[in-house]
Amino acid sequence: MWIKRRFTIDEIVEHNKYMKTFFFDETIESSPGQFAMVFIPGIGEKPFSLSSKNSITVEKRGKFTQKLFQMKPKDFVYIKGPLGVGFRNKDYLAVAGGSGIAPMLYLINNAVIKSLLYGARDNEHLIHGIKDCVVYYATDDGSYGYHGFVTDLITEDLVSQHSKFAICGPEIMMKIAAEKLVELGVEPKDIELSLERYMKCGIGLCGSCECSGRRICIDGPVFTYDEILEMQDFAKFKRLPSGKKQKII
Amino acid sequence: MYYKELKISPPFMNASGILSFVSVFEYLEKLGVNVGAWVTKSIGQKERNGNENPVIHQDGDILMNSVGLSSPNLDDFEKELKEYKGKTPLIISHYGEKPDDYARSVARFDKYCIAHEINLSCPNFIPGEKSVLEKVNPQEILKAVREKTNKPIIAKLSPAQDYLEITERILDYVDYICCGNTIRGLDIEPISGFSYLSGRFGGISGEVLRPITMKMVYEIYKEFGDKIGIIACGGISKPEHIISYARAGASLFQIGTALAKPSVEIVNFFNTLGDGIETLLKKIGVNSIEDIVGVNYVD
Repeated sequence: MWIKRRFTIDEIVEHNKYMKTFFFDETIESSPGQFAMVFIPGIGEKPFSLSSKNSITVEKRGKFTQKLFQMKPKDFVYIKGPLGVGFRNKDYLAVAGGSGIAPMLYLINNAVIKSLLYGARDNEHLIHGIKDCVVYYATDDGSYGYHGFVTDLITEDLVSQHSKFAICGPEIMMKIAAEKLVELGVEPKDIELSLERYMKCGIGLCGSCECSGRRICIDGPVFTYDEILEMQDFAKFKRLPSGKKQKII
Repeated sequence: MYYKELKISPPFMNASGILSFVSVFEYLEKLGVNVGAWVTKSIGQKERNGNENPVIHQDGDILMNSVGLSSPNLDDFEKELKEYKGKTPLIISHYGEKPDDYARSVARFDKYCIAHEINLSCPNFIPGEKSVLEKVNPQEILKAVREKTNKPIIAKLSPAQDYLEITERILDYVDYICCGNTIRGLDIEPISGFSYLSGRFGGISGEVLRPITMKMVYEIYKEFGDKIGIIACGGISKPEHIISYARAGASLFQIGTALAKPSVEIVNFFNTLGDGIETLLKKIGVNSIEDIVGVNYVD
């Protein structure tokens, strides 16, 4: 069961201009892939993947994250969590794109990732210094690691060394990654993906985050690819705050 | 009895605004859920985002929401209705700002549903807005709606409204009263002084509503039970609650907050609810819920 209470920020790690990890004074009994709703009074509330039992790793994007980035140790936020269902396996080959790195950091912390393929648009958006697993980097502009999409790093050789696969990032990238894994002979049930949708309540009531009937906040956010293959809206449609369906580009 | 009976089996369904979308209903049905009907989220005239997050606040047993009537527009809503492949019948919930709004959407969606729920009591609108009954006479709304449909009409009222007076005014046009809605409240974050909800006020839901709503059911049944049916909606989370509400006067039941569960658990919840009701009815010594509607010894 989730809790909601006030947490004090203990330490902030600035990975780069765009990404920070906020460590809290208390832990949340949780598993990798689960998320929390973070509430700043007077500003708003947003869902974030936990990046450890007591942290979130956040990319600066909008009004809320800008405010969060101004916060200092000893400031407080409210955290409602842990929410949703996380990853279930171990010894992963993980594929992460952009802020999709956040739940992967938690998996790495729990020593369940063997190899990580990690891509971002450029070097300034990458988190460096990831330990305890083999990391292969890719950037869209070639400013660090492989020049191209992270999904290009999925090779037969690498796949053959792993039996479980975890993917988190932009939905189109996840689709390409999962399709490639299947082409290379991986069973869809051995691939897990963490989905993202606009979320309101975060506890399964309002239905705002549904994707083909599954409420991402409570049935997910992590699903196996065999289940996702039954979700026709995957990588095709998402809902706006009004509930209107919109094509994913 | 005067009212057009809403014949659904089993006698329970979700509350409007909970689960919300036909795609969610369809998926639960695929998993084997057994409910009498699904109630859609209240549909408005224009696309509307509702309030920004946070729209839910929980502290101990208190759960409040200020979703604020987010809604796609009528065209987008209809697109999804057309795609609905479920076998469970739909009840469409409507909200508006004037009688014409309600009438228009009732007429348009009449063919997709077995009944219409007219939301006259949503307590969480966007700050600065007025609730619909502050602007319009409920009788005018129900009269306009009645002209557009022969299907059962449910008026959703709140325990915080003058429900006996409103019921009396709309009695000629309505088949059911849904008792009730969430009740408007406020909770302030102590350090910052801001509300816990971006919509400032929010509707209190869950267990705490049950005795308040049960009194509403009891009073409306006592006064108008021979003319209209009653749907109970407030804090139902187990079979006992349904039996108690039936004794107060309700014949149909909606479940809201208790559905904050993964899909598989929702299926299990609904499917054991029916068995639980059967067991209790046996214990009472009656065959069906109808035998105990309004049968109580409160007075």
